[in-house]
Amino acid sequence: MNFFSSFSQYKKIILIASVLLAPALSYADDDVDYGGYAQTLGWVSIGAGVVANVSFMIFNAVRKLPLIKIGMGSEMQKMGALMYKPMLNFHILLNAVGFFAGMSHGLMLFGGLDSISLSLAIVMTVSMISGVILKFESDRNLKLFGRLVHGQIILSILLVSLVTLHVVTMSGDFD
Amino acid sequence: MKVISAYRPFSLLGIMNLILFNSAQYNTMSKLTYGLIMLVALTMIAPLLVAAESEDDEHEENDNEGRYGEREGSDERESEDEEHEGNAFGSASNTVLYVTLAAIVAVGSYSAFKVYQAKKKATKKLV
Repeated sequence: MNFFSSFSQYKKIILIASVLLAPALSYADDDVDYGGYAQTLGWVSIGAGVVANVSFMIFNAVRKLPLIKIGMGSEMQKMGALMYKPMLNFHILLNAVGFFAGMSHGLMLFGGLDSISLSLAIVMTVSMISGVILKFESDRNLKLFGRLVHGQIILSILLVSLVTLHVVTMSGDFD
Repeated sequence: MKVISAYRPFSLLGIMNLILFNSAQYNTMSKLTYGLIMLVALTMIAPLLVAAESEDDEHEENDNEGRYGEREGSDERESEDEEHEGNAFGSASNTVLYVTLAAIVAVGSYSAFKVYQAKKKATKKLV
């Protein structure tokens, strides 16, 4: 967890995103169908999103449990407080990787763009921008706006539904 | 499925990011501004690439129509049926897009309203 304890890690986000893009760059000038690589990027995006968000949701749910009442003491609460920043950074880092992977996947397969893919890209971008505002913005009103948008359950439901629809509708094209 | 090498704008943005984020004078607000500009630029580039790609598709379709314009009878009926199915799917996916945009607008409006309410309460307390 020391890896995630400080947030000069945005540079690592860029590094990881560049690493993901590097194979795409190496194939870019060849007249080769690299749809398989694009498909892998899509799965990377989904996997990163699932791990980043589910782990963070579970952590927050456990942190908010009345642990003292069930006899687990204040140590768990202290550990929860200590672990919060690394877990948050982990959530941000992995979601950023997932976002860049998803965008690369979309850019590489632009010819097959449909309304569902476009909707998914829009929802991902809105979530990402609201997260960036929440993390980096110092103005109280903007931070509140970012927190409200980023935390809306409707966006999460929309994201999950669109990912499912996208996988179902596009899976036939890769068979 | 067509695969186009649309990586170039994205990779250029990534390189600019690496150069700017290494600057010692780069403060938090500039990082946020630059990050937002990058995301906005990416979303603006995307429709242009789609438009360019769709023009190519139209040219190809016109060529195909010239070559296969002599088909008659059951072939035409089959293609009409497929077109009806395609239109149904197209309208369903367009509905998904409209619902998504409506949801985002609703979330944004609700959040803006909540911020306005909070600001108003804070101003009243000061007075």
